[in-house]
Amino acid sequence: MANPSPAPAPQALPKAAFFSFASCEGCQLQVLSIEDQLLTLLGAVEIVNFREAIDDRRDDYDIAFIEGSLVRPEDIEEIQQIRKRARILIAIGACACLGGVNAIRNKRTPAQLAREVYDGRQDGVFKTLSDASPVRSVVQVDYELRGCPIDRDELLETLRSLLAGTVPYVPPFAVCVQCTMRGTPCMLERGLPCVGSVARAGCEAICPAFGAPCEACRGVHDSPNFEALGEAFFRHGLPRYVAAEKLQLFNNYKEIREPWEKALPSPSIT
Amino acid sequence: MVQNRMIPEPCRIYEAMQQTPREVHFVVEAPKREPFRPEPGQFVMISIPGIGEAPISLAALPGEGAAEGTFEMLIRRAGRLTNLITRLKPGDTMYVRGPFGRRVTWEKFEGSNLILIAGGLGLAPLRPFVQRSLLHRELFRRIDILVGARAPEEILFKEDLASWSARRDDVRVLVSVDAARSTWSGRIGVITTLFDEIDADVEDAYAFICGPPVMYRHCLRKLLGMGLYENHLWMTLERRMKCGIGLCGNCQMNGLYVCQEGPLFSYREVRHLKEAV
Amino acid sequence: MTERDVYRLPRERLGALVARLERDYRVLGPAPRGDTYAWEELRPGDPVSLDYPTTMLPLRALLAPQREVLFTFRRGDDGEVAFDPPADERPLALLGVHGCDLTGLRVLRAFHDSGTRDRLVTNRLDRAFIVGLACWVPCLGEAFCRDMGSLDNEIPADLYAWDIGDVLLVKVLTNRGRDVLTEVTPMEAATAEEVVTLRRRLRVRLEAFPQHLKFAPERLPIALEAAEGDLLWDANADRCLSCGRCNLVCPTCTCFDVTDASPLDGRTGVRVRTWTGCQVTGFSRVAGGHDFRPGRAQQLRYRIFRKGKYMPERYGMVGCTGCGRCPHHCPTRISIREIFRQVGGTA
Repeated sequence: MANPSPAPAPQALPKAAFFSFASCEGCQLQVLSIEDQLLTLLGAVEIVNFREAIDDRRDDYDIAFIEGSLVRPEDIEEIQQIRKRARILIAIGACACLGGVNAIRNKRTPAQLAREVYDGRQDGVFKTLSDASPVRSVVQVDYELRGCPIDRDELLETLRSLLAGTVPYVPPFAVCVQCTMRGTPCMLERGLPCVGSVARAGCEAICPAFGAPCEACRGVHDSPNFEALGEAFFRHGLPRYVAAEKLQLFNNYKEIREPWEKALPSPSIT
Repeated sequence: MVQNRMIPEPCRIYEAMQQTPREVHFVVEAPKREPFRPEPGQFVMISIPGIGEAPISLAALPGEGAAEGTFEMLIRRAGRLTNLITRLKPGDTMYVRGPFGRRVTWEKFEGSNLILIAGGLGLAPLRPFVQRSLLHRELFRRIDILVGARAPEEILFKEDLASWSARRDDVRVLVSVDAARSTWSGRIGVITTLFDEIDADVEDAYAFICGPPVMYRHCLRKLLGMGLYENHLWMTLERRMKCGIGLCGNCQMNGLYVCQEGPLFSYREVRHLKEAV
Repeated sequence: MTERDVYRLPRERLGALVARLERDYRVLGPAPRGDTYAWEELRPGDPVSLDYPTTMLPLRALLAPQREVLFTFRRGDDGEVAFDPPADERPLALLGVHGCDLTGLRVLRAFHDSGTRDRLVTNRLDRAFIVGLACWVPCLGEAFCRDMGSLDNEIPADLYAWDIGDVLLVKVLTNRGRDVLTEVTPMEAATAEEVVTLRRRLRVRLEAFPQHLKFAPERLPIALEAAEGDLLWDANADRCLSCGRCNLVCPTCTCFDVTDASPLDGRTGVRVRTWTGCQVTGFSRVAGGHDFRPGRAQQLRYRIFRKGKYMPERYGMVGCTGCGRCPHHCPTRISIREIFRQVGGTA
């Protein structure tokens, strides 16, 4: 009996390609570390472009996975080319989805950066765009796999959904949901600056489980209350601006920053 | 141990008819584990193992609008599960639990006028009401069927509407669209504009409403204003059931579980509830 | 209280109790985890905690777990899917359950008895051997268990213990409880001196548990109804994060989500239910995105109404045990006790 088989027929594997922009390439490493399911993955898609794993490069692909944020003028052209070729474009990781840590610099001018980072030297520093940007600020993104780095199981689950012909599930709620269910004592109660209550879940709250407060590497959830976040920090003896400092780490790209910036006092570092 | 009520039953798809680009009309084998004798207004839980489950209204009941041993649904492509379900073909299997929801029996409606009102996708859950009333036509007085859609191409069950309209001696079918190009010769306007054309005695009528959330408030106000009794006004309320059996809590509306006390409610039952409409 | 059926259990016999229960049950008790306590499996010889603050997660986590497999499935070569219900489990013995958690189990029982009985949960409840434990001081500053009738609640325990020092005084509440106790002690009645000590401590305890509400919980449905349009919902909801912690730590919340999981080949998989709640973002949204309970004020009001009005009306029991977990674990300390006080101001 014909049933919707989640795995496609073996003769026509969809082709997947991985591309890297400004990032640590840690998300690609996550893909490589799938281990026990890597063979199943390779039985489900043909990987035609993957710098961390294969030398061969081809430009015929169905699914493009994009890692990293866009920082150089030539990145814009390249991502537009990829978008034209790919049927499905998936941004992976905090850099590609949010701008990520690269966007911390967005409130500084290139001259300021050159002064602070390179001691004023301009030689050998490549030309950059005024903002480090998430992929969706330049081209249409079909799906986003959040996290710094991405979660292997979530990658497989997303692929499974796409190969079956439907959309992946993205949790709309706070990290606190998964954190509390795990039984992890609240980081705020321990005096640690945790922004899990405005952050998007999906990570199974792994950082707090190992004692590190959440930094919202998956962005914010569907109904964040930033005023209340400031209130929560204050009630736990943490200045409100610390909440802004924490959010600035991954969520500093202008459109993403705007809502929390309005609600929370400026971070001490800008 | 009793049967685990969360385990679905495989049911063969007999027909899968594309009605619009996003809606498919299914004829499906009825579950057999327990007698499948639904009432109008009830729903089933449909799933594909590995993808998920969703509540779907019955659009025809076995032995009434649908053949014995089968039931019908109209499924809109609107999410993770329905994206896939709407691609299934005759011969494929879908997994079914149910029927669920309150069983409203029909004795109290007999001898009255019926006003059946559907907006958009609401025609699917309303269809069993129409089919039952036409099957037992002699038990009712006037029957008015009012159907609204956003645009002509979004009108559902066009063949049904045509065949119901053909019984012009004993049924009145009024269709209106919110907006249309000049090729449309029918009525234009929101569904409540059709209410002025009801010529049945409203004080001796029962009305049934199925439609999108925005439709209810306007319909209720107008019908009550026309003199319809509060407990003669029935409506189906959509919520996100995850279990169908009063456990998961997702469908709660104030103190009620829509999957148990509904989805079919009389206005009198829910008029004081802030979360109803 | 009555001292009928109260027996002595010397502290050093607790190990024997664990060993006896271990023969028939998976024995669990509160154990230190980091700077807090959580329910963990006890082995004979493990220390038994008789003085622990309320755990963060409520006891229902053991009876209706956070993530529970509803069934597994296998897809055959012909595409046909076969389903398997979850395997039977070893029954639980719960050692040292506070009054608030006992009340939580009672509410859970009432919930399942009034509607569809969820056998996965009621089987665990039916088979669980429960040892209740009296509290001497409030676990959390926000607790109001006395007001909600949980402080003295002994139901549904099989045995109920008062720790008065070297000896525990244990009340027998079920035949099953008597059978177990008979096997681990010679069933000596409490001495007159011990009974006096217990009575004195219970008297003194009332000072440690001041009353917070000026009205009986039975009046909550009426008081809430009168406050439905009150501004207090907006005032409290302004600082709500929609993080859902209040739902997840609540001993009487029952809502769950249902999702499927499967490896990449899709040949096998599970349908699981996972805890969720009315304060969790996305809970009241339907396919297509419409939210039937939009806005934090409406959502907060719904939670409080469910506990104080809908549950007593539907299940015959108030849905708040007064454990104090939801305000304590709320990042901005939204307090159900304060809301009850406010709505009951004139009650």
